[in-house]
Amino acid sequence: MLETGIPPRIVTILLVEDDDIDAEAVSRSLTKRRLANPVVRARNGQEALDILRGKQEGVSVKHPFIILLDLNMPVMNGLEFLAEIRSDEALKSAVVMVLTTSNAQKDRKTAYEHNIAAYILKARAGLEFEAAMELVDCYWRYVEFPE
Amino acid sequence: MPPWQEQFSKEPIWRITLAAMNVLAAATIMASWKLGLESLVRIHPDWSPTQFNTALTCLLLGLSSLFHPVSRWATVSLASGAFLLSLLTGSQYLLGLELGIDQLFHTHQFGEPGAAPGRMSLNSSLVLTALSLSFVVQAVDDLAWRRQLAMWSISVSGGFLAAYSLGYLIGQVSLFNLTPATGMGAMTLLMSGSLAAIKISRVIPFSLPKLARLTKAVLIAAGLFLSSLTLAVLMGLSVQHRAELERGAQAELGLLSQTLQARLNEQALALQRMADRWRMSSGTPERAWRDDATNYVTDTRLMDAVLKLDEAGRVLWREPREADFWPEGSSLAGDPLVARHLAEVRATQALRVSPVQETPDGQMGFLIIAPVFTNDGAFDGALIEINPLSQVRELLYSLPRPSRYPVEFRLPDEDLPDGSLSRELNFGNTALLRLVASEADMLRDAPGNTTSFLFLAFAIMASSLALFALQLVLRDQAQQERLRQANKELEIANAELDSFAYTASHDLKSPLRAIRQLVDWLDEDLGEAIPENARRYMTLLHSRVGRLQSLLDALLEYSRIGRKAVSRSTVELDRLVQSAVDLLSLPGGHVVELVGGDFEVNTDTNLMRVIAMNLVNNASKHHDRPSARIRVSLYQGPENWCMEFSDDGPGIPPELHDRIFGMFETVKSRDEVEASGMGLAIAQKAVTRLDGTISLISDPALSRGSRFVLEFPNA
Repeated sequence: MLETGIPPRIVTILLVEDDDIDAEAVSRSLTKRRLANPVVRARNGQEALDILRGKQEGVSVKHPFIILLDLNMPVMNGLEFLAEIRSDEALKSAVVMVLTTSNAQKDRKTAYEHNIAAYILKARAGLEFEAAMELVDCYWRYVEFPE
Repeated sequence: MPPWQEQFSKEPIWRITLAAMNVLAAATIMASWKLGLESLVRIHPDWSPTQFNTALTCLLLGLSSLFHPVSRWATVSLASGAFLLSLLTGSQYLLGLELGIDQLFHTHQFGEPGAAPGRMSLNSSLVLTALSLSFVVQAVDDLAWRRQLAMWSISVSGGFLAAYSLGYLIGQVSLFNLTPATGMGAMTLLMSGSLAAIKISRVIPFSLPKLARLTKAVLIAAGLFLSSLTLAVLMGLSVQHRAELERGAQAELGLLSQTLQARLNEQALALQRMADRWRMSSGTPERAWRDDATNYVTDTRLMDAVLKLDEAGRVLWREPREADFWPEGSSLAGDPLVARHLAEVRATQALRVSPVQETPDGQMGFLIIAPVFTNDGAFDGALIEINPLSQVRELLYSLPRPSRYPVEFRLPDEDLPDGSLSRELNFGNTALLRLVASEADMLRDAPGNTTSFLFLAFAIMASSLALFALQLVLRDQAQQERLRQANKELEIANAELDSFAYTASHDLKSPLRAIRQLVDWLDEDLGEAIPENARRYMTLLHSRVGRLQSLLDALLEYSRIGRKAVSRSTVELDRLVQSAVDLLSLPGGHVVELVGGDFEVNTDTNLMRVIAMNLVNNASKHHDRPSARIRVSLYQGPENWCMEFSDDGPGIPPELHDRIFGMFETVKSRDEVEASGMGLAIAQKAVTRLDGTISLISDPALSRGSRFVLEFPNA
């Protein structure tokens, strides 16, 4: 952890998001808040799994980390990704927050069944998006992470 | 497992058992014929035996049935043998042929009187021809046709079988004996019945929807079944009717012959009395006995003449006296017609009647000879009466109940023409005459077969009704099937629409959100550096993106109304409407007033909220003044409950009334009033989902305001 030069309590954010603009929004709001959390981006569930399992060359996620997960994605969607990591001994305790446009009750129910930390709707306006990022910010600051 | 064994193991066990039992039973009967065990082939002494050929046919069909799951060609060739055998037998009956197949395989030790020995009965040949045909059509390659043909031939067979079983069930086996001598054996009925059952289970589906898919074929099959059943009963009835008529004709002829016989007996007795009188009145003057004899001859119609012979055979007198033969004084002792009888009556001392023969005048007739004895017992000759047949015939037609049809006399040893009924006239032990009438003559005026006619009329009516009912049931079933299919398709279409609406809204909304985001970021990053015009454009861009978003939301809601199932519950209407209105954020001067509604309705709360919100929102949005009064009246009638949404807005011109409920319709441009144009379309769709109606009362030319009236059925 020391090798990155980041204080140990700084949390890495694994952003699993296929939309470039949404990814940009996350980066922007982090910059705006003058936060230096490293952000690792994956474009779908499969990419995120590869990164977490160290299969992606040159990219890795250091502990502690938090996963910001979109639901509607190509290749492997958010719910499939959740099911996969919850059945993986090494990854089952990862903290996941769902950040999605889907307000479908079925999606919410399934997501919570996979023990997510929060289900946040990407609202229409950028401001509400920032409010969501504030929640993420608070969360990692005050919540203790599993080892 | 080899393929044939696998096929065989799929066959229901009852079919295999039944077919095997058939083969066994048929083989037993064939063996019984070979061994001459009558009780085994007949079962009951009154029933027809199962003939060797019949058993052979059943054996072939049983084997054919066993081979059915394994080899199509074995089935067809075995059944073809059975088909040929039964068809040829049937044609022997119907075309009157003699093909020599009856005893081809076995020379029958016994048979039914009057029947060709060893011949399969007509009943059996009808049943078995149709039954084996249903196996033979297995040769047809087209599956649909194979099934239809099998279905139809088995129906014909089933109709006959049903009739003949009926015969056994009601204890009137002979009713259905289509030929007088033989009917269908009990064993034949059992065997062909079980074979038919196997075949029926193969070709007729026992499920209404499946039958409905074959409506036409099933109706034809049912028609064939009913027709062959009717035909069999009709044939039985007409056979029975004919037998009854024959019995009637026999009885009539019997009565006639008895009457005639009685007359003859009377005649003979009269002569006997005369002979007795002669004995007592010897010595009476000639005048007196001649008168007596004359009276006798004239009174008795049968007689031509009466003669008195003395003991030597000489004609003592005769009445009438004038005659061409046997005159008074001639001797008949040597006459071949008389001499034998004279000796006979003298010996037996009893009256005698001669057979019918030619008398010396060339007529056919018979003699009655009565012996005469003196008081002391000495033979004193005889009285002879000559009775020509012509006289007997005249008598026949002058009886109190004369014959209604021509009757001929025949000698006892004469051959009778075909189709004639006869009765014998006897005198003592002598067969004197036969009364013969042609059956055709007797039956010509016989009463018609009303039973058959009534039965036919009844059968036609009942069958038509049954077929009509069957057709209705099948059509109804087919309709239901189509409806189920349509519903399934509709469900699929709805599900597709559901997923389309979902993806479309997601896929369209996310780039829209991105555009908005990008505009915001541009705004943020440029800050004060942005020119005034560009800022205005950005505001416009923002508002158009917003409009597109609300249009998409409205479209999604519109499609959701049709998609979600209606779930009704009982609610207080005023509370429900109030809760919907409370969800709206209306401009300050806009007031919603709720009137009535203090009753419960059974409705879908979500849809009802959608309706109330959209209509109130619509009234508020299109209002042209800062202060607005929107009034919602709720009331209940005997059949309907109503909601009225009235406002004091500008109103809607009548020419637009038809259009406002359409999708994306707005009265004013969207730049003037920000609206999706979906509110009324959504409301109307929700009303329709709840089986209600919506109408608009508004005419700005008369007064301000519009009134939407909604009606929903109670219950």
